[in-house]
Amino acid sequence: MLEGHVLLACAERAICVAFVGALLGLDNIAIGQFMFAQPAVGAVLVGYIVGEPLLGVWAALTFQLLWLGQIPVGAYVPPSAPITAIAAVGLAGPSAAPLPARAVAAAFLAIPVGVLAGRLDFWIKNRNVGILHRSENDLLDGRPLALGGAIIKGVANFFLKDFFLLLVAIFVGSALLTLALRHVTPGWSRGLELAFVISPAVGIGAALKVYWKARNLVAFGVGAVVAAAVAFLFSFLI
Amino acid sequence: MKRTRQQGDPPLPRRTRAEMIIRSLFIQATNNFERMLSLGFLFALWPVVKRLYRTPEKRREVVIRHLSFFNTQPYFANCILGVVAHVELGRGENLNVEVTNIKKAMMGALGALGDDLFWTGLMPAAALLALVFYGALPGYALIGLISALVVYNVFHFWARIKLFNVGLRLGRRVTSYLKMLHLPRFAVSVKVVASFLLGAFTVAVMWRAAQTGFGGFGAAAAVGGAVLASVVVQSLGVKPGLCWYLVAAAATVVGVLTA
Repeated sequence: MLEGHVLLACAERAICVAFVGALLGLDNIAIGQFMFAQPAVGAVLVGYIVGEPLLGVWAALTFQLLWLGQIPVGAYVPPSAPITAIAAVGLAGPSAAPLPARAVAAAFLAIPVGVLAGRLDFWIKNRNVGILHRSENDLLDGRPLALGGAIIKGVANFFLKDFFLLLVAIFVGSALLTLALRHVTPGWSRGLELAFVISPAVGIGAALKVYWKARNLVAFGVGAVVAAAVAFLFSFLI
Repeated sequence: MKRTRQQGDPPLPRRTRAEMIIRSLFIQATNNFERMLSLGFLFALWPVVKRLYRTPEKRREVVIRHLSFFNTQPYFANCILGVVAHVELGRGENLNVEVTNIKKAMMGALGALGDDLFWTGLMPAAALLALVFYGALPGYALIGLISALVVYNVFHFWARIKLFNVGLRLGRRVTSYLKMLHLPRFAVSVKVVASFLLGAFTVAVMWRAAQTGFGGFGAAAAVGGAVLASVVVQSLGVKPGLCWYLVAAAATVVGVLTA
């Protein structure tokens, strides 16, 4: 069983990450699209807020590119990368396990949360049809304020969806992970550390698949050579 | 001294234009599967509706006119917003037909162009700029984060503000202006830059891996192998999420066995 103070820490983290995550998540569809919701920004900001910037950076490295080429076609709904990355930061929770083990275990649970977030986005877009019809009737009846009200309701729908999803997932998930990670042996911890190091490779593969054209592959090679040369020089300097 | 309006100025005061651009930030707030961005578009256009139409009957006509299906890329929607405001301000004879035709003609083309330019071009390129920083210098993550936000939002706000003002000033003639910008060619160049950054990011991840306790070159080679494996596996139709599980599980097992 989990101690009271651990459950309290899980709840505090869940409330904090869910609130900030839902605010950042608004940028994904509802407001602006300034890039705040993208894992490269959102997860890192949430990482700083919970006092674990490296965890935020790892979530960004892992999830930013993972679903780059995925678009909703037919019944397929791509997972929400912003919510997955933010959930991973939240789920890593108050466990005493090393960062790599916590991060990879959190990512295992965060992906289904991201899948659910993608499906809930579809549900919200269906729900918004009701807002459209109601505000259309109000506008035709000469009530122009309905337009502003509809926008507020739409924003609130997106916010509440992300807030409650993250709140429940992070509270339950981080409590379960804290329990599970107590039983991780040093051998398994080392295995999870290797997964931690290799994780960003899958996103790189996904992005390569999207940019798979001769000119892009040449640019990829040039970028790799330039970076390798810089790394080589840098290793000599230090 | 108050500046008088001159020929060539956009046909709306600066305050109204600013209000419309700010309202356009919410264009997707009521995104729905029936008529997509139509309600958000009307919300952004409302300052013009308020100026032009005072009677409830006239406003009812506008509501019917603008609540038909509308879907495009949200930044490029501002260009269409400008053009439609221009047409509304002209108060032509067949406004209903003209506005509907303009929206139909522009939304598909600008939607495809905007998606290509921003969602698969500039957004990943800016994110990769941050990722290169994170991979190479994780201690300086904030510099990467701020650089990505600045680079991306320069283009983002250019699209929102400039294209709105040009659409408002030129009306239908905005298409010649858009052609002049060669945006499809620009999107191709942005993807080349993104690929360059992706190459640099890959090396940064391999370099980081080499510094862990997994045998230097071997760990870097494992990252390279995982990149190739994930390209192959995803080309076979495996979804990226499942691919991540497979790679993470394989790495964990290898790590346990070599512990």
